[in-house]
Amino acid sequence: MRLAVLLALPLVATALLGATAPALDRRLHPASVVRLLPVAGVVGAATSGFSLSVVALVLLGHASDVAAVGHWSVRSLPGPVLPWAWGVPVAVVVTALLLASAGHVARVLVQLWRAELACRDLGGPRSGGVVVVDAPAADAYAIPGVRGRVLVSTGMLAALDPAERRALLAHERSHLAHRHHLWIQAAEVAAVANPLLQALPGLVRAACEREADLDAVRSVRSPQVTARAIARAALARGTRAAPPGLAATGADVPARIETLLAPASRHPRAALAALLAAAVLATLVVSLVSADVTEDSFERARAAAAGVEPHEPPLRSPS
Amino acid sequence: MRRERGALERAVLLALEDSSRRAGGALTVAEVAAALDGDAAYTTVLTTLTRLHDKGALTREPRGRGFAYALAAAPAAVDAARTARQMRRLLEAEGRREDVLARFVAELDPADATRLRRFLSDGAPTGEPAGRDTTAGGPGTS
Repeated sequence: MRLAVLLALPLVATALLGATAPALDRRLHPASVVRLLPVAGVVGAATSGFSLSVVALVLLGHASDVAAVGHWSVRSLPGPVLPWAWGVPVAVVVTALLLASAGHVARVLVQLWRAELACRDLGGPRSGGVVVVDAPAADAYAIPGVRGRVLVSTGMLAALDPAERRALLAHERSHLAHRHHLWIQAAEVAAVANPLLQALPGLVRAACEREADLDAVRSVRSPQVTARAIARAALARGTRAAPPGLAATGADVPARIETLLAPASRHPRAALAALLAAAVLATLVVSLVSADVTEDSFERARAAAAGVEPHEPPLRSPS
Repeated sequence: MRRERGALERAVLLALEDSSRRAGGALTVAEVAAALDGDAAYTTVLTTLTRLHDKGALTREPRGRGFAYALAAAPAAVDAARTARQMRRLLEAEGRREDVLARFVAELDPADATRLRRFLSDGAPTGEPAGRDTTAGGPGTS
């Protein structure tokens, strides 16, 4: 029973995180959202995944064939709350999520590597260097890497006045300086590993944009100039077709502008950030304790099987 | 043998640049291969030269049974052209797919475009700092 509670806690915590993430996002500073949500997501996904695999292991451990292979006594395992066959779907789900996460991580690593190569190709010594591409289409983005680059087209520069260009470049450099791509990808991985956390990547992406916007404001010392830069850039770029896969992830431009011009509408709560960090830590500890308890109970069950083995427990007829 | 395509292209361009500086003029495939100290096979060098020629980086003239290749322009210009091509590729192709890129602005839907135009025309045209809150109570909260 104690193990059941320990195993359930990370699952509950992760479900809570998924449900409250939008509310947390509204009450935290963008910088906190960018860092805390991905960390909480990864910890939640990892601990809940671990809980589910222990559940699968314990349930399947009650199958007499599995017990024979593992050399443990079925009766000494934590109580059979469910018939052992329930372990099969749980194991299938855990395996599927694990494979999906591994696949996603591999894809992201390939993308990051390609971005790294692109940065190297562009040459130049320092990070945050600006590369101007002679192209009429208005576009601007940061390519992450050890020596990240900011790419901006002449079409985009033409759409902006000098102060607005400074705001744009400060915004993109902020993405590189804060390594936003890593936080975003961590949130993506968490969402793939645990579908309860699906809201996280979108929130983290939007928070990255807000944080970069704030850095741009600091750089040009004007929320108005920054807001105009965003509006003009969006209009210059807006008529083109959405690249597949990116359309849903871009931060809402009007919302960004409103946030810039009326920053008082958001009241960051530092205490809430601390609370979230504490909850993440607690979940991690609970999960470690549950690992310990699980190991202990399987060791006891093994000892029972090795020591007192006069009669095998009567085979329950499953399925 | 194991080196990447870009490195080989650079090495070939360097060899041709060297030759033009020493007034050696155009080089045949065998001469370029020799200049690379046998780092690349003849056919690999031929492929690279053909590719660079197709890209417009090199000119060639018939010599013997094949061609002799020379830089199409001053080395700096070749490099600039190559870099520009790479960047256009980045902008147009990779920029659309790569999820790791941080774009300044995403796509707009038409309603948002109207809101942005209104914001700009209300707050920006005179060039004065827009003191008024131009968006509050605007097109409504969606």
